[in-house]
Formats: sequence, structure tokens, C-alpha cells
Amino acid sequence: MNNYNIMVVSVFFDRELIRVIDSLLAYQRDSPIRVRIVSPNVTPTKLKKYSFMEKVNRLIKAKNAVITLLVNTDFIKSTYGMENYLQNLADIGVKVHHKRELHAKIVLLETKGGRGDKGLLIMSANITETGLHKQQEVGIYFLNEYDSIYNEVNEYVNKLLKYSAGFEYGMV
Amino acid sequence: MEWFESFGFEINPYSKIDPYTIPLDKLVWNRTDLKDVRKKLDKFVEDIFNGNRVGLKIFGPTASGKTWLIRIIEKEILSKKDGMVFIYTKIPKLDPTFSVIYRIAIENFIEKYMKKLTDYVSKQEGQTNLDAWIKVLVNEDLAKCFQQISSKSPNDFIAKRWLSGDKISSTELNAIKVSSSLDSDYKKFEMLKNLLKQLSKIFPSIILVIDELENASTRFAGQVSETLREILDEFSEKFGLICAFTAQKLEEWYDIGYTESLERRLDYVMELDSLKKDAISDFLGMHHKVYRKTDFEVKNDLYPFNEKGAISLLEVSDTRFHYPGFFLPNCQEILRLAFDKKIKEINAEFVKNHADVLRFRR
Repeated sequence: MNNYNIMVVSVFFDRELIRVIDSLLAYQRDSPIRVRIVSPNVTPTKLKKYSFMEKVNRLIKAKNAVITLLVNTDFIKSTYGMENYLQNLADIGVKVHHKRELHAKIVLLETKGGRGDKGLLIMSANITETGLHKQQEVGIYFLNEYDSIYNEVNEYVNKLLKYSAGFEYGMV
Repeated sequence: MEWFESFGFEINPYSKIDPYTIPLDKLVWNRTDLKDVRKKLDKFVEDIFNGNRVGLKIFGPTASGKTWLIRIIEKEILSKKDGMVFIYTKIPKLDPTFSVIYRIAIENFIEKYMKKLTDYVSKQEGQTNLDAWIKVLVNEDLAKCFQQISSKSPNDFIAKRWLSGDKISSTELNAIKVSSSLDSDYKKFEMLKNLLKQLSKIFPSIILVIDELENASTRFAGQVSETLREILDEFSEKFGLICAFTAQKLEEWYDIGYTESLERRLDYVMELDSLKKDAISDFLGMHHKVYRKTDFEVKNDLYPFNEKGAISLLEVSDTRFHYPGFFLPNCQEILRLAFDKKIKEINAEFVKNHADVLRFRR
């Protein structure tokens, strides 16, 4: 890790998580960037100023970012409107995957070139209106700290993706 | 006189053209920094010459030279052994479907190898009538179409359309004496597999290249994985598969949606890393050499750059632009300016003072 990187380890509670996710998705320091989001349930929700979808769209368009989203297969069927929402995300270029029995909630951010930052957020909340705006939730955020933890979690997400399926509207 | 001619180049060495259309004599291995890639490339080529079944995965960021690398492999293989077949296809961003992958592959084959295939049939069977084509290709429909295309029959355009997977009317089907259209992905897949299988009996080796894998949706990537896996499993020898995709890291294979079962069958992985300062002179010098007029004498192939000028051109751009597809257009901008200012040598100072003309900078 480069020694001029900002290093952060912080714990966030409840509505503070919105700010962390918002700042991760507004990442401006380097590009290209890659974001991997593991959230069993995903519904339209607002972050600080823009919605989750708008933030993701801006990241893809402005930074040519690769955004991957892994959700729980069963939630696609049981959550009203989720399938349409996932299709909208896929249409703007998000790589949407689904997997059964998924319960982990993780956001990984990585930039290449320049400072080469690595950000990791492990939390109890789903990226949903309820998870981010109503319930009591907690999350821990690492930026350029504990590389080994980042790598282990990233490897775990690799495994989840290996055994996931690609999302297609109407196929679940 | 054009600006590039004043520096001894026969054509603009930096012009952005489709890598598939670069003539083989203008392609040269110029990445002396990519030692690991070079080693794997040699092994892959050796496997092909030995008639093995072999799979290769190439990845790197945008403009890192993936298609260039594929063409280098093609050049190395074709320069050492005659009769090898290279079939190119890709997953286009605007229409990422199997029909389009199939169509590009078939059209590429017809354009490049129709004459060779006809010569083979003629030599093998002493004639090129339908019976001769059936004996060689086995599949009757395939033979009928190839026979009509090769003999330039009045219906050859219908035969081409049928073979490319177009929907054609029953009248047109009757005209080319074929029973049904290739109207489903399954039929197209079977036809492609069949064609590759027959070609591998005729030619020393078949290499199927599928580029731009990153354009598939996650669901389609899964389907493509299964299709390519099945094609690979059809062969125990004389077949090469090259898969290329844009990615920062190898693990993005899974983000896009490709499977482990296909990955396991790809024997080699080549990563295209960024250009480095200590290798930039070799890179640019070798690139210049193939474009320079033979009667234009230079002391150093880097000309009109000196070494520090070339390094400086890399340094003034952001690290995300340290790839050939960004570096070469920057060379063009700085050289055009040098031509306008009648500068004979591009040094570090000139580059730093005029970094604002570059397309890809900090």
C-alpha cells in the first residue's frame, strides 16, 4: 500500500451508513474503478442527494467503472418490484448476479493506477429503503487498511460470484 | 508532404485503425517488458503446431493491446506453418447475441478461406461438384451452400445468407435446395460445431478467436461459457480457442458472468500490463521501424524522439493512459506539433512544455 494513501477504519451506525455508501459511489480520486456490491435485497432508495441508481449510473458513465451486484435469488421472487429494478440496473451496465441463501452484505471498491485505493464496507444493512433509512444497522469501513482482510473478503466474493447465476428478467 | 513523411514514415504510424485490418507485416512484437506473456505465447504457438487442443485467455484494460496480441499470435502461427485457419468473432456491444457471434464467425471464414477450401476439395476429389463437397464436408446442407458459393452460382448470395443464419423464405430455401433455415441458436451452434469439426480434418489446426467478451450480459456470459466449453470438449486435438476481454483484474471474468468450467479449460492466461519507462524505447523504436521507409536512414529507430523524450511522453500522462492505445495517439499529437514547429528532435523539455496538446494527459 502506498504510504501517502488516506487510511481509515471506522464504525458507522444507522443513517450514517448512507453517507459511507454515498461517498464510496462518488469516488473521485482515481480511475478506473471497480465496485462489487453484495446485498441480498435491493430496492430503489435514496442516498444523500441522488438515488442509488443515479449514483451507480454516474460512476459507470463518468468513470467507466465496473459495477457488480450480487443479490439473493429468493428475494427477486418475493420482493415486489425488485426484478424490474434489477433489470433497470442491468440496462445501465451493472453486472447483476443472483445466488440462493445469500445473507452477506458487503461493498468493495478498488481503483487501479494512481494511488490504487481499496475500500471495504461490511454491514448489516441491505441496499434498500428500509435498510438504509429505517432500521438499526451497523457497518465497519476500511479504506487502505488491513489489506489482508480486504483480500480475504474479495476472495470470498469471488467464490460467491463463481457459484452465482447471471440475472435475466423472467428467468428466476 | 504529409507530417509523418518528413520523419521517414511511409504511412502514419499512429493512426487509429481497426486492429483486425492491420497488415501482418506491420505487426511486430514490441513489448519486451511482457516477458511472461512472451513465454506463454511461445508455448501456445508450440501447442498449436503440435496439433494439441489448447485454450487461451487474454485480458487487460481498454487500449492495452488485446487485439494486437491476438494478431501477433496469428502472425507467428501463419509465418511458421501454412494452412492454419484463424476464425475471428466477437461479442458486439450493441447486439450481444449468439446469432451475431455466429454470423461474424461464418462471414470471416468465407471471406478468408473460401478459396483454400475450394482448392482442397478440387485437389482431394478431382472436381468441385456437389458430391465432392459432400464427401469433404459430410453435412449435405453445408456442402450445398459452400458448393454454390464457391462456384458463384446465381443463388450464391442466398446460400451465403442461409449460412450466416439469416431467415430466408421457403422459395429461397427451394432455390438453394436446403430443407430449413438456421433459425435457432441451437441450430447455429450445431452448424458452427460441425463446420469446425470438419475443417479440423482438412486443415492442420483451427483457431477460433472470440473477442470483446466483456460485452455480454451476466446471463448471456453464462450461455457463451457453456457454448465454448462444449465446442472445446468436441476436440481432443487440432483446435485452439482464444478468449479476450477487457478487465483490470483476472477475477472480473466472474463479474462479467463467465463460468469456472470454461476457465478450467483455458490452459494459458495472458495479462497485458501497462507500458513501463524502461521499456518504452524498445516499444516505440520497434513500432517505428516497421513503418519507416527503407531508404530513410536513422541512427536510432526512436527518431524523431530521443530516449528521454519518449519517457517524458509517458510520464506526462496519467497512469491509466500508460497503454499503447493511449500512448500512440499522444505520439501523433506531439509529432504533428514538432512538424509544425520544424523541430528535428523531440526531447523531454519539448514534451513537458507542450503537454497541453496531448489527448491523454493528467
